[in-house]
Amino acid sequence: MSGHDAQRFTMLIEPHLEVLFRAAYRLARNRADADDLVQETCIRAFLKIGELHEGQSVKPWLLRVMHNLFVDGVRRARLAPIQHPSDRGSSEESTASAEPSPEASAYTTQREELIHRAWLKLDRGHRALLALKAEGYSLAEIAAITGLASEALTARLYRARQSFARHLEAEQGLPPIKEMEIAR
Amino acid sequence: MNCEEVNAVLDSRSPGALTLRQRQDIDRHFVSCAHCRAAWAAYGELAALTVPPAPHDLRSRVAAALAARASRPAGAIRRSLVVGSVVLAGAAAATLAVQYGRAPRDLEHSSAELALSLEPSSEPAPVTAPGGDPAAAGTEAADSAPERARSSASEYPLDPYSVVVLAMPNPAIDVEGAAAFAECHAQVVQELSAAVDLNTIAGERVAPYVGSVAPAEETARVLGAGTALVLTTADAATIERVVTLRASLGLESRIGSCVAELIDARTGAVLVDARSVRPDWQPEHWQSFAVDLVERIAAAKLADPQTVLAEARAKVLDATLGDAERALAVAQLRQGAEYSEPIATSAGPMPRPLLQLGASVEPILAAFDDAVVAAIVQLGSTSPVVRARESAWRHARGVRHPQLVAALMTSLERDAHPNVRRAAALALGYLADEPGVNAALTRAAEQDSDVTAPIPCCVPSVRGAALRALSSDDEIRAAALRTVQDASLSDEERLRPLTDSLDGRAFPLELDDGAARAVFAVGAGTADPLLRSRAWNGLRLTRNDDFARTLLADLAAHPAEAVRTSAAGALRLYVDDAGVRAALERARGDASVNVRRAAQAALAED
Repeated sequence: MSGHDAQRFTMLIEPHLEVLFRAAYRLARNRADADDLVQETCIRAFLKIGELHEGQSVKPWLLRVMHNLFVDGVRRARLAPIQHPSDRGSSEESTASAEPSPEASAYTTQREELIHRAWLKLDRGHRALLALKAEGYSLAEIAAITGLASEALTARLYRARQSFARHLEAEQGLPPIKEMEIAR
Repeated sequence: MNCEEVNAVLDSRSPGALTLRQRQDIDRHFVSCAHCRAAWAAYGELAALTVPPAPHDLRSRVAAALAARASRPAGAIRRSLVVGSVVLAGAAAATLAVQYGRAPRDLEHSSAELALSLEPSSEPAPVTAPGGDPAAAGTEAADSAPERARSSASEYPLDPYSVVVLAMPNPAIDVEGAAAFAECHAQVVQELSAAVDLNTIAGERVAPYVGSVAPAEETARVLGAGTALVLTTADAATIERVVTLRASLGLESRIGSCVAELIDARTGAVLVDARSVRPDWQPEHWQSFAVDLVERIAAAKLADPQTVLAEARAKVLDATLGDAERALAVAQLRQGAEYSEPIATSAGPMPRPLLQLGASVEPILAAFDDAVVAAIVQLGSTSPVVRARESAWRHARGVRHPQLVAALMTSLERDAHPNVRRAAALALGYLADEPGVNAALTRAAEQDSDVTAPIPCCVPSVRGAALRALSSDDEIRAAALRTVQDASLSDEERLRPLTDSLDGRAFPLELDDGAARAVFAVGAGTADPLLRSRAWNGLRLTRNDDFARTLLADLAAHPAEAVRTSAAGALRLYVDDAGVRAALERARGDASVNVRRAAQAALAED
């Protein structure tokens, strides 16, 4: 492929870069890895352009490439390390938009770290599903991106949420929900 | 509901789209099921984590990475990017030119902009530029398009007669709503396509861009079109409100909604805004909606402002037309912010006002020359059609002309119909400093036979209108501010001065600190998304840092699209704050095109 091809391909995917970045950030939970994932996705898509059929939407195709890249774990080494929230980008990425109190900031940071740790313990396929759902995609869109049948998708989403809740509770030092019920 | 049902409902619908019954069922399930409660709470925290906007240099870094990859010896698949020529170049106007028998203006240019094929030599863009060689045009386009497209929109001309139609229905809409929307979309595309001189880019050719977070105007620019038409559905809260209202009247509802916005690709300005919620939807309604919309688009796109003014003037002066049509044409000689104006009909007392929408505030003074004023005076003074007389006076507000002043005073004193005398009185409110006007208004305020307001809350009697006309702008504004702060009124009544005006005076309402706080309190305290959004809209001219946190929270997470949109608008005065800017940047990725546009407009204020 020529540089000219690359330019034109960039034109094709440019409208979707923001979408890709958002999805990548949901998956990686930090800016640098999201950035890498987007670039890797674009290169992979560029090489696989022949798979894009006439009339096929570009956005879901790109998201599918990203999904497969992520779930296949090609970049596991880069994406896996646990980072402290303070390493995960500039302060403008923090949750609160208005100025929070120091106590609130500390709580938010601790909470985000717990969520991040629980997130990284989650199976990559589950992470991909929850990331797409959190990003607002419909079940039909997620099914198209992941290639899952709708019934399987619903079941996996259910399990993904349950699993994430268990990991989060474990990170909080709380007993898993079953033990809590038994303890009562 | 059991676990499976709860998850199925929550997975398939946004929280804002749940019915009250579903919400209650889910709440009940959560009380009894700790697993689901914990799972959804954890997921809620995850989903609420913010996503920063993409880095500004992401595009250039991706381009560089692709260029580097492309320069390697290729083991990669070498294929023609069919979608490039079909989707992008396929939007070329050639087909339409053949189909409708006339070449859209600037066809050569738009085709050149649109021709983007990876391998132009093997898949030349289907360009048939009038008077030119198709193959040559395709090659030239392929050579130059990327360079031009990389430059900013302002650096290359967009085809002003190409319209990109993007259908973006609310995903939460029900099956019937979706069917109605599809009908609306089909009708609009059909009518647009049949319009001579317009090049419509729709359907498969824009499919890759539907659902993109890129603003519609950006998509239009990518496709070389000067205009984007976004079709979407009304906010779920609006629909629910209509359904509830009709149910209270014992009427069934078949819900369909269609909201159309015509956006200038270069500036992002909304040229035409048309909304239709049809509880009693029938296909022919969409057809008439589409025809009306296309007429407005044609008026906005195919005629320059001077032509529009000239045509309106010609209508006003054309004695062969009906009086009502001539009087309505006077409205086209006005400009400025629009407001809703409560009106009365001849049907006698009514429980709630009818609203005259789109009553523009400012007359284009140069348009009201002697001949036009003479025609308005003739219509307002002598037309046998009450509506024409009333409309003539309404649309002459703010025009200062001796002939008009005299005619208005005569009408106020002698016209047989109170609606016409009321319109004359309100028009004279703009002319209270002219000789004799004060005395005429005072007489009407004391002696006119019409003493009962046809609609007590909103449309005054002739005496009441005359009293208002005698008031100064400061007094009218003070009265509006008192209404806003009057806690004895309902929330809806308190917010009314923000959107409605009897005559356009002291409008839009500039809030003082007390009124702004009152509006904020109403917005923050109501569960009604429409009232909340109206309150935030009312705060667009007021900055108070105490409001920022709530506005930011609404922008980020309120389930109602209208609320997120108005929160973005209200935050436009806060964009010097880094946190607000970041929030607005995030909102540019909102699922709703309206929120995205409001956020972008707010960011542009900086």
